Amino acid sequence: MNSLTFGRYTTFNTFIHKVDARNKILLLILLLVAIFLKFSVWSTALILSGVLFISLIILMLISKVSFLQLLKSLLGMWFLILFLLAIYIFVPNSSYHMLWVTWWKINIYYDAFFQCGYIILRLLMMLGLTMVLTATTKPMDLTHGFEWYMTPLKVIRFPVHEIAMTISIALRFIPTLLEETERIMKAQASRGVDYSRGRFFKKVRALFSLIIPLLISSFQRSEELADAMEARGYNPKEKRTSYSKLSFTWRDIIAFLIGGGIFAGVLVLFIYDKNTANIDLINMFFGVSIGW
Amino acid sequence: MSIKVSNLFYTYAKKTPNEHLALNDVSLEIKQGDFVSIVGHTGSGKSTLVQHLNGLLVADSGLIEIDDFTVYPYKQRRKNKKLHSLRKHVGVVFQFPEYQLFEETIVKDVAFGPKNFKIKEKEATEIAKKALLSVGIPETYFERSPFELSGGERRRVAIAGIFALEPDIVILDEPTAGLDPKGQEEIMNLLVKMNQEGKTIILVTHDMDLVLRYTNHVFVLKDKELVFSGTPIELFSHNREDLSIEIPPLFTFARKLKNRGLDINISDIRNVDDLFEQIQKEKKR
Repeated sequence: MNSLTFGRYTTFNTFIHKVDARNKILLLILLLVAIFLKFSVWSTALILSGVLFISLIILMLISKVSFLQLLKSLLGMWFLILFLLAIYIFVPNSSYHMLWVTWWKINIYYDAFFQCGYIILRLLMMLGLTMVLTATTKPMDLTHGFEWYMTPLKVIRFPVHEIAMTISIALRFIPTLLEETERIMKAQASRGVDYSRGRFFKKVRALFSLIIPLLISSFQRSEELADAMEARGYNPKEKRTSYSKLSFTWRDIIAFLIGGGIFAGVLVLFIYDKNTANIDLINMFFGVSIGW
Repeated sequence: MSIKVSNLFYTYAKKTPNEHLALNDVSLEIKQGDFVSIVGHTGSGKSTLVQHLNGLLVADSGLIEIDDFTVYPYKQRRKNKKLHSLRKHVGVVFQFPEYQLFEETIVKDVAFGPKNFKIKEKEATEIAKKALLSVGIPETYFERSPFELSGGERRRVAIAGIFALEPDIVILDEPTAGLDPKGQEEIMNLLVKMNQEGKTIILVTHDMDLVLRYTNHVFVLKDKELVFSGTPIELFSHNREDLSIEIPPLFTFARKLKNRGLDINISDIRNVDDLFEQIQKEKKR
């Protein structure tokens, strides 16, 4: 069950928790862009990634999201890591220039490891940022936030509200379904089902005894929910008021200034890097050039 | 088949912000052939306790001994090797068990349990049919889909699914919740019958009428602790406010009659018929 709680909303009351959902969504997107911008000089890319990574750690500390869990998620990515590493090693690209060893005519470059590590680091940061968003924002607020961003689409008759409602209902029922799953698993375990052991065929059968009751009860639930909503006069075409209002406060201004600032800084460097010259931060600040 | 629970502690969602204690130092003993009830408010720890008895939950500390089975706490969980066979020995019928049905026909569904304990298909089907008949499901229903049945019938099929394991101890969590009076009566009569066959029955319930009428021992849980253990009559006559137990109207009525001078023996009164008999006897005298 532990892996399921990963990135799930926790009821702390930190600064990040209080920031408006819309603001957090926007900042997440901006920072993701900042993370994935590509720089031509290695040292620059590393320094910027380092800065972003340290900011992420600070962010996670403030919002009380476990950094350890983020690192643990690396274990789950072992296959991806190996796969990437293999590709980077065996498909060298022209920019590689630091040879390590040569095995049977295959040149293995240090660059392959750097590149792979760099990708993983960026994936990790992406995961961490998303985790901070989902762990500090109530699912309902999150969907309200998305709905708010999608409102302009109403002009072209895109069913924004219906989709937002569907998403929020789906989110609302995740814990319920988890509970239900646990209950049915226990009930079937009492009838002698062992979900962890046994041969493949037996396991599949065991899974059936879980999935069928789960499906049936979710159909039942959705029908009941639809009836209950109709009984209370729900009409998706009507304009609705909302119980929890999203509101912008001084916290949002601070959060936006910091997050937006980081994004703007990286973006300016990126544009400068693309248009005029390859930026070498170490050269800029210390006047020395490192030879790779 | 006696059950001995000593110093059980259990905490839900350990090491998360939602961590909370669910059982606090619970010790109890249940003798073979008893018909006991466990009562208490929602969230008092009844269901949690019951799930320990067939090893679905493993305690933080404390021991559970059921005949020659011992369920060790979490730290010594490696010693818990026979949990699977314990589940055949102790059958648990969960709340709203009708949601666990999944097979195409009810016979298949009931036979699912025995088959999990390595009983051959043919024999399992026989056992299933017997179990279904014992809960009052007629033969004409056997090949129907469980989803065609009414709620009460499905509940009985699900209960038959546990009976088919032929457990020595049967635990039922609110088996009568949401059933009509007739359905309730049927299920309770079934339990009485099983009890007479020598099985230990543990009934988790809110319904004090059932406690008074059917069980010979009652445990009261309150705020994760065991606060009372004794016969139903003892429980109701002490009238302990702190347990926040609702005394059955029948019991209150009988006691008022006695206080007004009618010489009846309260400890013999389990249901309306008993009271009726006593009053008649008294009138004849």
